[in-house]
Amino acid sequence: MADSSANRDRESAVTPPEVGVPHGYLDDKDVLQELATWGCSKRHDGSLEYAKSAPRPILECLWRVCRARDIEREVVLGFLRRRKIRERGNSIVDELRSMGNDAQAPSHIEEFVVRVLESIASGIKQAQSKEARPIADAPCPRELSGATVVTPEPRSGTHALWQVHEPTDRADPVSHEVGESLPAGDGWCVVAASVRGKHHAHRALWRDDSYALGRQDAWHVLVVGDGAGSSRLSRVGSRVACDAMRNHLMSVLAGKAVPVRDIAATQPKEEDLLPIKSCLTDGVKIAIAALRVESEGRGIAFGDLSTTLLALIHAPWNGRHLIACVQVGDGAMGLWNEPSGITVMGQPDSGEFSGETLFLTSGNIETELDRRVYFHISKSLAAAAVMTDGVADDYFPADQRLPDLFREVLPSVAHPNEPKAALLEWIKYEKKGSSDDRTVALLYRSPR
Amino acid sequence: MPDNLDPAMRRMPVYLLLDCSTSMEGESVEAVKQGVKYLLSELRGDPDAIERVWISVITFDSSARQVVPLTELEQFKEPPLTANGSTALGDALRLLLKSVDQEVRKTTPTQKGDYRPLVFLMTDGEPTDSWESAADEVKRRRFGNIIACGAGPSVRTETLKRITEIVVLLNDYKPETFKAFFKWVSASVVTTSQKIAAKGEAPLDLPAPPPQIQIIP
Repeated sequence: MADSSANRDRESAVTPPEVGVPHGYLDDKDVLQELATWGCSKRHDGSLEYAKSAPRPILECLWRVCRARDIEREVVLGFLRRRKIRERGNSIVDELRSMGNDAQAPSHIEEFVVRVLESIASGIKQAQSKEARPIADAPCPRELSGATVVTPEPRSGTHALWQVHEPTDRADPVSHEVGESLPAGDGWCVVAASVRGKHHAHRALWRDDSYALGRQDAWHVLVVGDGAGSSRLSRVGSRVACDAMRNHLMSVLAGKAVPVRDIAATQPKEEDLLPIKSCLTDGVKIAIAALRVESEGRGIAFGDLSTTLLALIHAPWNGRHLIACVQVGDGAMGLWNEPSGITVMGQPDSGEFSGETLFLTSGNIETELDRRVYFHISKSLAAAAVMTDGVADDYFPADQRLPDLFREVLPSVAHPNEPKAALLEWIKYEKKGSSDDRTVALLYRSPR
Repeated sequence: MPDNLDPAMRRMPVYLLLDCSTSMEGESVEAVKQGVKYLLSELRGDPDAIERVWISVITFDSSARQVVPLTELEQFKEPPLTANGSTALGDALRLLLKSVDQEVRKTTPTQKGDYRPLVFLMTDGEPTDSWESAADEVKRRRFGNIIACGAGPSVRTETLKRITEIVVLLNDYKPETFKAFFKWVSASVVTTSQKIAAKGEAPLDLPAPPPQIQIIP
């Protein structure tokens, strides 16, 4: 791979980057930008120009490594397999030197080379990496050999710069999109859809949202959760929390109904609602406990599983509808009552600024759950929606904009055969500035 | 604050505070200008940044002025920069606080708040005005990330540390060094726009800095 010095001056033509750069490689633009910080730039004719101080041979070698993608990939991976190089006293630069370059190698050059090689192997652009990882922590090259080739095709209508990448952390994979509808029955449909947002796709990350649905006796159960962007395994957290809440509700609601003590009553007695409230608050506690067990089992920090949690349950009551919900974190829930309009359920946690909310893993959530439970009796419920922030943000403020959501989504899912597919299609709507994962769970009257 | 802003938009406000004192004259202020250009082109290549980042520039010499109010990335034009005067850092910090109060939106029931503002301060010398209480106030406000960058031998890290924990020093005045700094600034903005810090938690992680920059622990 290392040409002799006679070839050095000729080896400089730069062809435009190909569409569909293979996974694991920086494209030309990235490499040029890195090289630019070292005093190396590209002339109009495509050749490279070096400032006096630039370590030319190392850079040329690296340039060749980055440019040639077939043979050199193995060479690059070979460098990384020798992860213990530093401990043995060798260095990547020594390897390069042994390939025919006679440069001096100050340690910062070595770091640069190592960084670029790490980036190539991990497929994450160095300029956008979240933390500096020492070479000992670089991903095992063998695991990369199964990595999928990426075609960075943006979804139709999206900004041309958004790319779509497979996550390189292959642990705990989750599908990029998923939908579910419960079998029809009792005159109500229950459907959910969840998709990875543009932002996570661009950064080669997983979808962090989850949902869980259930039907128990006359009850409908809708649960969604949004894993915290700053928590490493929040996709596991949202999954565990949603399942724990749903499973608990299915179990405690079995055989339980809010009594009708007086058929003229327009709402249940306060004390008859207490057991329902407990079902919801206990569900939150059980979800938190499930997260603790999961984090201990994996030997990770509790906070690595941070997630929000929203749960809504519905059952008929005395010719009307009883809806109850509980919420920790952001996102939104709403009811569509014909003809009177929207009822916003619950309240999102938010701070002074964006990006600030609470999670199941935030301290003291268990001690203040009562105030998070909301009830509503509706005379003519047509639909209910529970959604994570990725959708709620696009219909903000909820009291004004949720009617639009129902008006848009209900006709789509009214399709008798494929509500799940229809919801999945709807949830991929294009909107500038809306790049988060999106999840919505819907309850609505079966179309005739 | 413009009223035609979509209440459902979440912006990432970025404030650049640039020292334009006499000692920056010549190569240094040119390098900063190039650096700002570079920062903009980096950000304009990132889809998250294009959709969210708004930038403001405050310069300071014998007094401070907001030469560019908080402006959408796509509309932003680099301001002319000239170096002449002393180093009114206190004035710059006071102006920063005032600008943030006027321009950055807080969460309300009918309006989404912006993300916590990012602040990048670059200076090559000691402040010449009264600055301590402004520095304490800035630190107290817990903006998203405040990065103070000292360039050259006259800077005291203790001064910068009073404003923020994140203090970096540039090795030299070379244009490539400034460029590396601004490239890191843009990577930090991009990374920050990804990460969401839960209430009250530690400042957001920054990407690894290039070798021309030392982080002062």
